[in-house]
Amino acid sequence: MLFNSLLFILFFIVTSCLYYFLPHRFRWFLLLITSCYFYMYFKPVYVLIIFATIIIDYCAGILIEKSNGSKRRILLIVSLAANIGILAFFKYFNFIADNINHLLPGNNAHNIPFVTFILPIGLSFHTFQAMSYTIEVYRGNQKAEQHFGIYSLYVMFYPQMVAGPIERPQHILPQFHRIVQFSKTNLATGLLLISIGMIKKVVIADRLALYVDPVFNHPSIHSPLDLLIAAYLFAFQIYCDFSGYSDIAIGAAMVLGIELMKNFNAPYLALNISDFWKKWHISLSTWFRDYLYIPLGGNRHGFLKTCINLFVVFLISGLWHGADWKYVLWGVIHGSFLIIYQLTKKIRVKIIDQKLPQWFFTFNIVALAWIFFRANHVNDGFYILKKIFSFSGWDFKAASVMNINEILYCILMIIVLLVSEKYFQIGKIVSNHKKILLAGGLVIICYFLGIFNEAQFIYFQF
Amino acid sequence: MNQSFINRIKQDKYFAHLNNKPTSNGIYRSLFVSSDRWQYGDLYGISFLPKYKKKLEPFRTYTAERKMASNKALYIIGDSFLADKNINHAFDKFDNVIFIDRRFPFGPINLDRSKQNYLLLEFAERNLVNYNFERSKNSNSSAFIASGTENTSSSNRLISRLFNIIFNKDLSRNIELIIFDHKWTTPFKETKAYLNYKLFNRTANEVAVSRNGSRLFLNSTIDTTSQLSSFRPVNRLKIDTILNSLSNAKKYYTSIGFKNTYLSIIPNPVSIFDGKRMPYNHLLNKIEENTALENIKIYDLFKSSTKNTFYISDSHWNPVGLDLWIKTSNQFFNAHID
Repeated sequence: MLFNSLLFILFFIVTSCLYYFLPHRFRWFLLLITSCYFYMYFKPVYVLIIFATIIIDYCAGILIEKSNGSKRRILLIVSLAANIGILAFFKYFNFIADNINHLLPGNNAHNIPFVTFILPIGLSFHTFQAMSYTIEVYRGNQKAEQHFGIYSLYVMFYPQMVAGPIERPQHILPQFHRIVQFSKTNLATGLLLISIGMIKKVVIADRLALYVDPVFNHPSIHSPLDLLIAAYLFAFQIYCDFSGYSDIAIGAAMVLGIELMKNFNAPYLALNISDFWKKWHISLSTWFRDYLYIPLGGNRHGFLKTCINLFVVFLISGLWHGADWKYVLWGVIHGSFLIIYQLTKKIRVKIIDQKLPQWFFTFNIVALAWIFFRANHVNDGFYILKKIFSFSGWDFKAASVMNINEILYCILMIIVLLVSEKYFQIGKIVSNHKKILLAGGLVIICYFLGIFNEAQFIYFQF
Repeated sequence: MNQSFINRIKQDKYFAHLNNKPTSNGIYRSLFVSSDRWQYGDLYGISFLPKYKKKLEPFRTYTAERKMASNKALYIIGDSFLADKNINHAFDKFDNVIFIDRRFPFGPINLDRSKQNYLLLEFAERNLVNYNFERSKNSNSSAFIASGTENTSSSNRLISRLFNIIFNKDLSRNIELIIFDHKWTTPFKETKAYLNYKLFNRTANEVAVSRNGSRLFLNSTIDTTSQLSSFRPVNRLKIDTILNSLSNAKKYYTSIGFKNTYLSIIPNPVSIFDGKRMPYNHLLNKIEENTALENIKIYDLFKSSTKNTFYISDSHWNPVGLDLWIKTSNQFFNAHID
């Protein structure tokens, strides 16, 4: 089910009302059933894959807690292998087969056949969330959850199951056990967050997509200027699309009295690439930090090992986003940026210590890296970059895609977004009435200026 | 949400402005049927651009009683241009007209063997592009057989029916139909449409405004990425495929008892009123000139007509256009049938 659909609005109202109407002991069941429906609406049969991992990890958690020594380690490995195996099969099988087939000499007779199915939506998100549970139980930071329903809800909680934030068990499991009283503040803040998320998605991201999609899909017929504009607009499209989703998820959970972790913190105001990754997709960045970077040694074994660890983490992060070389390259680019950042840390301060050039530089390298993320193919990405930096033909040829008025409007919306991220904080609004009024105003703007084509969120595909 | 209930609402909304006498009770009508989607034209109903909110003029009923029975019947396999029109007695040569809607499966045609039966294949230009007789014949008969057996087997199973209802991919659209497809929402929809058109020159994806701003067109008849476009270049192979389909259709219909099969292609409104918007592909003329079927040509007539022959806010012709077609067809039949 898509957040930007009428069905979701109805679903959200009914679920929230029933949630507070029911006694606490039945609420987990309501949330589990509604979460199943939310997920099954995409494709019912895929719920079986999630339940398979839930059963494995639930049992693994209990057994890990009871075991010690090598048995404990083996149980963790079994659980992780099951999760990664499912993820690898559904997400990467065709990618791996395709690459092996390219490497194999001779005719097609020995080629590995492809499997045909639609990738289960949000598979990478809930798999990572499930893995964090068994790892935390193994590390002794989290007690194994005895209640099968509550554990299932941990993996399937509808606001965040398909595109995060990727939660940690220590943060969310206790909240499902806690008795939640209805709170006007939670309701008002949640609704305000939902309306902000909707604005980001339907007013900004989907409007930007009207320009970005046709230009990126046909780069050869567009001028360098068209492509450059598309690259900048995509940077904001993906941000508004994904952070909009996170805002709606956090808001919807907040109405139910469940607090989810913050996923974005004004990333395009970052002053360096390291800062950017502390503000962008925080739940994934911290997941990789906690479960990959630090176990690899982090920055504890000298400069060279730190650089290698960073590179490995971002390579895998790129691959996490999708089974395509363009995502791998995007990860490699960011890994390289971070290594260069580490290398130049001391001398750079002397060269540029002004905030504006730092911000300008950071934003531009991030925006250029997005080109590979959005391009239909790695080759397209190189073609677009080459064309932009050919500095030839700076005429605007995309007027049939989007007129100047609309582009100016998009730029205005982006400026409003950046300014509001810098100076506006929801927490500073004390009055619930003001929050509700503001949410109402944003809903009206959403209706009149939003694009309602039920466009899927970009990160759903991951 | 039960899909048959939704379909009933859709149908009632569609016909509400055509029916003078309400066939259903007042509460049902006011709760579910009241809508501005159709009475001002299908393109207005999609775009809600207030400038084009013009009530559709009703079609007349062609009911002139015949003086003498001719013992001839005309079957028309056609599309939305002739659907729901009262043309039973529109032609001098025929005692009656039987309309068969190509958009839905209709199964085998049962001819009245006591009469001489003639067939007219009527196509809107946009529907002709993808015409493939064999494919439509096969899908028509299989869909017809499937619909006949549907009630007796699997669909009656409770779980299957329940899944079809709760996981129906049209649930959002159905909710919109029930809650927001009402007259009270029209001012909001019109304001949104006006704002987006004025500020960004954007309309609903399915609709395009003519270059002089006087009328609306179906965007798929303009956008060259669409097969239905009047401006998408057509190659020889495409034309031959359509011509072969028409020839095969004629052979088949002759074999099942039709005395003759005729063709009539109704131009896309954009071909008539905004044909110089881009290079026109002239698919219509190429088919008319090369088909083995005798055909009723109306493109030049519509092109040269000083009258408005199509609604400005609908993708179909208006009563003037239909009248002109009836008149031309009548002359054609009088000249070609003894």
